[in-house]
Amino acid sequence: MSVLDVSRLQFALTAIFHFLFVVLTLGLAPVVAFLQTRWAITGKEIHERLTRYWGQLYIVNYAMGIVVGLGMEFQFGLHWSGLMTFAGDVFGAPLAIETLVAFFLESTFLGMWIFGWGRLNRWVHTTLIWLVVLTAYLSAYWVMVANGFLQDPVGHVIEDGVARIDDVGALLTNPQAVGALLHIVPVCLLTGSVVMVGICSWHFLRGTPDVDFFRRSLRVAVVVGAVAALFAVGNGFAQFGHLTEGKELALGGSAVERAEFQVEMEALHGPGDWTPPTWVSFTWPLMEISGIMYMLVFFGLLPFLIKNAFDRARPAWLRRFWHRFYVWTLPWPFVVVACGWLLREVGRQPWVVYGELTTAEAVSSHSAGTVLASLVVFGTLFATLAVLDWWLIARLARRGPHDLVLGSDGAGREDAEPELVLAERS
Amino acid sequence: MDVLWLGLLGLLLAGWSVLDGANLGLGASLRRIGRSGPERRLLLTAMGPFLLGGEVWLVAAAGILIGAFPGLEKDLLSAYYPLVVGLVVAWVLRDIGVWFRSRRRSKGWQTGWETVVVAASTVMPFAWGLLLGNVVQGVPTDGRPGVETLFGPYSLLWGAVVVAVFTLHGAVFAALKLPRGRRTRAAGTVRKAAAAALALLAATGAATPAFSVELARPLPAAVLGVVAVAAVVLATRLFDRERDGWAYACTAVAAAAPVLAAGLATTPRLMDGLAASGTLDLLGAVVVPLLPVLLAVQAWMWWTFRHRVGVGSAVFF
Repeated sequence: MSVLDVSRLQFALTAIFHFLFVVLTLGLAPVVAFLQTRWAITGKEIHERLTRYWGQLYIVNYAMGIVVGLGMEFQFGLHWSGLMTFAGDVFGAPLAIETLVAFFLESTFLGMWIFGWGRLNRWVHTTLIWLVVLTAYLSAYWVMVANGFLQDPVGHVIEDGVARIDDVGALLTNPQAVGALLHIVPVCLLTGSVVMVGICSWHFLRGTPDVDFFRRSLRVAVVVGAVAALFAVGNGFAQFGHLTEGKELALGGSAVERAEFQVEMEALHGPGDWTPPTWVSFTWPLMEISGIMYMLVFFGLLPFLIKNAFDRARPAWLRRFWHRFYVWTLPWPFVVVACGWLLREVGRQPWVVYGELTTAEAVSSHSAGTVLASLVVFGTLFATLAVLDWWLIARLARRGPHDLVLGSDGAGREDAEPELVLAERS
Repeated sequence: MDVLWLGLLGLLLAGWSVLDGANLGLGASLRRIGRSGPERRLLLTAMGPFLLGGEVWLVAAAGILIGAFPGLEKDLLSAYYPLVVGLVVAWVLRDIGVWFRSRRRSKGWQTGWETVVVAASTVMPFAWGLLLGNVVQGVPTDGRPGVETLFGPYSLLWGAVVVAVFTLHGAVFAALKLPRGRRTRAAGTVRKAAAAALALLAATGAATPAFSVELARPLPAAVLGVVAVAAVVLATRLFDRERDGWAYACTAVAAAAPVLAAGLATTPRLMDGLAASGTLDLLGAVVVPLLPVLLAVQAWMWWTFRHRVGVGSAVFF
């Protein structure tokens, strides 16, 4: 494998791993904020447990999102120095703004939210989780601005072979950024809902004693999921309005279309392979079918909220079949979002900045062995930690709303720490 | 004007050294200061509120490096590739170790992740110190310096300095946050780390001319070295008088000194990688008005969690 291949593979692995966790983080955060707002208003114990239960799943997932994000942040400088030389002045600014004014605040607010339990006024504490949601979505926007520039480089001029910002407004309102964000946000919410429905179904299958708890969770998940599915599919199709020609081929094009495009590009850019790889076109039908399927499923589920039909409907075997279906298909949205990433990024090949800089020109001049070594280190590390993290999330999810670790003062059964209780006296 | 961007980068890196330096130092001594499982959990509870808000300073510094210094970022990350990979791997393991350690009751699980935290919290400052030691010896414009520079004795010395000052800072941080009756657990680590920091700072001062390292601006670096030595001496005195807050302030100065010294000594080279004015205008328009907000939020976090841990502290890590 060449240094280009291993650098691309490392970027893809890091980005996809990061994305898998971020999607759920963005999907669960608003739900947790909504649940906590209800708790703040009513002060009821059930609302507190809902907040803490879904909140702990959210933050254990968040942990892994952060650490893969750390690896992600250094990818550009480590392996794509050509991109930084050519477009660093344009592409770097939104990434810098993302870290400083979005992630910096998000992380600080989240730390205060996790450890402010029982210490902060309940309204201040509730405001904190909303601020986490706000800054998290702001992060997503700035990342999409950076990515949108790569998809369709707008708002810049090229001086001495280096891109410089020319029109900030065009950069910030790039349809490639805004359109994708409008698709991604409901996709995150939909993913969160699918996970919640899966977990609730597992507890109903097991005959949970916490029926009321999971019925309430299910109600939120189904309503959020139905609305989100509608927008995820709608805004997904809306992106057809501004596809680059190369991306159209990635979605699936005939041999004739590819050949025509190839001739056209050769006239512009000289000899070379200017069409995206054919294998990536499998992703589009998969996304399309899954999106529509989820829309049908969630709208089909809405009537099952009436009189708690979801966990009481007859015949029992059919109900259990559907509950099992939701449990077993819980990982599916993650497969689909990974496909979305592949279509968007692999579908842009051979360009890193569409029409202006090829991926081969952007790669750093390391030896393939060096990059392969770090690929093995990061790949093994992230895969191991991701599996452990998912296992821990599953354990917490199965335990149900008991011995909650979020907001604990160290006195619970799972958490019992005599030292902490004694701390004040000694 | 342009030098302000370097100032911002310096502020973020110094902020990281002070805030996360304490977390890393505490992590490195987790099994020395905490003698039993519950004691270690007490330490992690003390560190907890500051972990996310501390490490994010380095994330932000890396962001500013990409946005305002894209040329420098490319040179640094290409030249010091193995160091950066090591730093990130250690960073990932430190974080995950802290998050995972208390997620299961099993003794083996907890001991295993504690070991990961200790090792990663030592390797990360060491890699950071190596990076600073290399920057001081000149950032190449192309390619990578040889192993004899990358892991040379002079670079290793910088690595050791950062580990020593962070360990001292972390031990004082532990004393500041542990319940009063337990603060003495950190005393042994404070004494040893202070002695090591003094010896290593002096050795670095002597080694810089001895290895004939050409600094663009040697004077400010030398001044910071002297300030760091004074801060360490003062910190041990204050610690002995149980003035933990003031001792923390002194070790904070020592923790920030290496990165500031390296930055001030090599300012002209670092400024080479600055972005174009259009980019800086966009960054300036968005980031500068929000800087006071960022600092205020961090100050609020510190104010909220200013007390020693005790009954009612939220336990998560």
